Amino acid sequence: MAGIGFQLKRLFEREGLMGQIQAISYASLVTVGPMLSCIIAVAIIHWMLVSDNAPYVSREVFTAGIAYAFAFSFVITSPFSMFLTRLASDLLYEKRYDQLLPTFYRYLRITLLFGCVPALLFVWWTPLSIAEKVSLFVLYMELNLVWIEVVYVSAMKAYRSIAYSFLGGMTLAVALVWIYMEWAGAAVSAAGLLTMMAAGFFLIAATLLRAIERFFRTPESPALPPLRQDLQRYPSLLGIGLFTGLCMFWHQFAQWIFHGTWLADAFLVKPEYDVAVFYAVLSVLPTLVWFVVSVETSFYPKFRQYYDAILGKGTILDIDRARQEMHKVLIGELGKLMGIQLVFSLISVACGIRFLPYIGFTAQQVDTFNILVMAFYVYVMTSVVLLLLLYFDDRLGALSLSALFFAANLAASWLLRDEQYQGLPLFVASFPVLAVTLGRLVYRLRRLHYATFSAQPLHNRKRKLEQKRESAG
Amino acid sequence: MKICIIAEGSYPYITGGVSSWIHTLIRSMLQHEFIIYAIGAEQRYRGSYKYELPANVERVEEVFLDSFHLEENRWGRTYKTGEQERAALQSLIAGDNETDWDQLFRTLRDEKWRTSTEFLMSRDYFDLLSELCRVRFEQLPFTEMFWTVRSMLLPLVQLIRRPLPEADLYHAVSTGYAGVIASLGKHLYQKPMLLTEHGIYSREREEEIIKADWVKGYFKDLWIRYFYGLSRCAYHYADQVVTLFERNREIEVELGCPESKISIVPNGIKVEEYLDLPSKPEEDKMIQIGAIVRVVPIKDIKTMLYSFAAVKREVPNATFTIMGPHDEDQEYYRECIDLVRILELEDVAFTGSVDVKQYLGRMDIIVLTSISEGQPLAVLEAMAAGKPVVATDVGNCREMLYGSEADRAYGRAGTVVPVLDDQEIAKAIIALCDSKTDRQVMGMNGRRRVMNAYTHELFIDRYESLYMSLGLALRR
Repeated sequence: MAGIGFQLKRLFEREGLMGQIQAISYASLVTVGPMLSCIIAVAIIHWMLVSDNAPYVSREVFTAGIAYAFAFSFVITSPFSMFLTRLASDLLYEKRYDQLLPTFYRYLRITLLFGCVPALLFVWWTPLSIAEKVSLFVLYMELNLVWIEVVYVSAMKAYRSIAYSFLGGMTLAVALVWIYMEWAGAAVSAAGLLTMMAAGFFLIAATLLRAIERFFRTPESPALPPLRQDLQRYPSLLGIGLFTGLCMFWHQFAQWIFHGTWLADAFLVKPEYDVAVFYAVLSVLPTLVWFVVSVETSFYPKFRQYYDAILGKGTILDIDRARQEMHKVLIGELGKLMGIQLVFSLISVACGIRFLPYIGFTAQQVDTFNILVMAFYVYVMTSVVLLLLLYFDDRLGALSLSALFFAANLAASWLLRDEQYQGLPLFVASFPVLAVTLGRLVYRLRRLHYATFSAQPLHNRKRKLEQKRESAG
Repeated sequence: MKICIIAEGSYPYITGGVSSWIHTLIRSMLQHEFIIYAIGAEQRYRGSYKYELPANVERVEEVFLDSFHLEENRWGRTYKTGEQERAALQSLIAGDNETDWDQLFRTLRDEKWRTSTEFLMSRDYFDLLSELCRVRFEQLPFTEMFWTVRSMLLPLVQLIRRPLPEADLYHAVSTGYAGVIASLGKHLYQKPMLLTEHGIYSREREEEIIKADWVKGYFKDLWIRYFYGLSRCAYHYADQVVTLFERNREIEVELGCPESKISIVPNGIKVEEYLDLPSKPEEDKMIQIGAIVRVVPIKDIKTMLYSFAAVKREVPNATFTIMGPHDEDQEYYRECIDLVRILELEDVAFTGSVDVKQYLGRMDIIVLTSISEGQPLAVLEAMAAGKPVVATDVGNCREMLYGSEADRAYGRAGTVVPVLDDQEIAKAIIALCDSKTDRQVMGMNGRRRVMNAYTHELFIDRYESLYMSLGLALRR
């Protein structure tokens, strides 16, 4: 996320409480703003439906439809997002600007093609109404589109545009739902609700697309290299994206499969669990914000210093020193991050025990919530360390570990499939993987000189190194 | 006996002194079998020989310094490199005096490395290099150091790992890579090794590196030390070191070659072939000046042309014939042609590759303006043909033209002039143009000196006995 670094640094250097609050707010806006907009919008709509006594089935189909659309679009796009992030930053670094837009459309097409397969199967087999099928399909495809767009808008470092377009889109969705409910009265249907939601995402997708078109449009677009050649560059990133995407949702899928009930003969759901997940996810927002802040303000400058020493006239002692400093800062920041998140997780657990019963949580649900909070704690730390491995170009390490992560999830969800262990599989799978991943990070850091120098091909080395430094940022 | 001759950057790809020396040696020793281990600079030279190989050449083993391009890159390997192995490699890189080459050969040829690049991309190598830098090169930019050392070691490691034909004797015709390979032959097969050094290889590399733009200032020293290190390997392993003249022997001793190993065997020439050459017709009133030389920068053809311009002003009836190939460095040749035009020189001819004997007899004076030489064959040929020589003060020219302690009695066979000094060169040529007697006397002096000390028979006899004594030592 290099690029918000400058802004963040300036904000964090300000004196006084107001400055700090401003800095945190900005960081939150650009990092978790989009996600939070979606969560809040869904929560508001849900609350409106409940308080308006909307028909139960419509409500549930709407909620399940949204959950499915988000989960599957995320899993389907994550391999391509991760791959495209790197590809776009390479193109930017190599100044092949005219290839950026064609590349975007190429991967958008591929993603949509992959994405529509499960969706078409789903609408073919399920007994939903035509209107429900169409609206859900459109919403799901829009989400696929949006996740790919986010990659490019991030590449142009327009994080604020992303946040604002989500805010705008979700506000529109909530407003439209409200108007629709007023208009339809008791006849509120899931299809109508999904259509309003789709309208909101349409605004997001359109805004982002406009931004991309304006930013990357060049007078001429040349022929792209063959797809095979493209994909050969970083095949591991596709795998890493796929596994991390799957890990995020697998525990939920497992609950649906083992303990779910059929809703409208279309969706397997496990409402008690799904609601617990919905609230538990909120507990990791501090990490998502603070990770970006700490990477940008503390770690990245040291990371750059290291590569500058290598690319410049740094002696071995300079490079040693730069590596040690970076190591120290990184481990320090990781420790801080884990501390901060632990405090927030504990607060979340306490709040959960105290307040969740008020909104209808059962004792079992509160238990599940508590376990999930701790599970997400370990899960988010693992993801953060995996991401750091990519900073050090350890794609092979990250690929093996993310595959291990997924395998551990599979195994844990099978072994602990009993209903009393709800939430535990994610924790059990994440904990050992976090330990191994941390070990790998430390190992990679210790051997960073070697990996940086000797992984270079025998020729044409300097360009590669510079590229690595730039792309990683 | 089966003799493996190891030649670097010369036979059979390039014509010239060392190459024709090798060619003559092989042709005159029909009783022995030869394997040519030819080290070329680039793959593209493969198979393009400038010589017709004599029948007693069993085969030519061609290796090229750029062949690492063909290897796949593979990194991440780790092996347990021992303390001695590390020390040997570090001392090779640093160009230290006491490099353990036996250890190096064992390490670099170890089968645990599947390719030579695999070794240079391994952890062991990286660790020993960075350790060396922390202790000894802590002031050098590490990235440049890393790439410099990699490019230093790549060709060597590549060569050392190649299969080496088995022979009864390894004869390197220079130090450097060739010297290392001959040493490897001795190490692997316990067979004797002979080293003949025409020019001083490490000195030549040093001059090259000092002038080169591609080596940054602070790395020149590293490169130079490295090449001296390679030479010490050859001096260490060689059973006998042969050089052409006294001055070279002194330098070799300075560079660490044990004095007891060195003997001097001058080049030889078949004098009888130069006795009845086609001579200049009576009616030819021109003064024929010639040069037997490849048109390449090290021969300094440009200075030759400048001096001829000065000659031409004093001696209008002088002509100048440059006899030798000019396809090796096309650009330099074009520059020379341009210079002829700019100086408005008349009566200058570039003959290209020719049978020198068809021209030599018609010449009045032979000129050599090289910047660096060993014991130039061109001067021997001129002397054998009874022609006076004007040569720069390089290599053994002074001794050949003025005589050594032993054969000064024969008198001068020409004039020695300073390198790069076109005025002095011109002055010496003009003096010879002016005096037919001097030309005749010096020509005769030269011929007599050649017959006394530089004959083909002497040269071949010396080598035959060297080969035999080393072979005998082997049998004992």
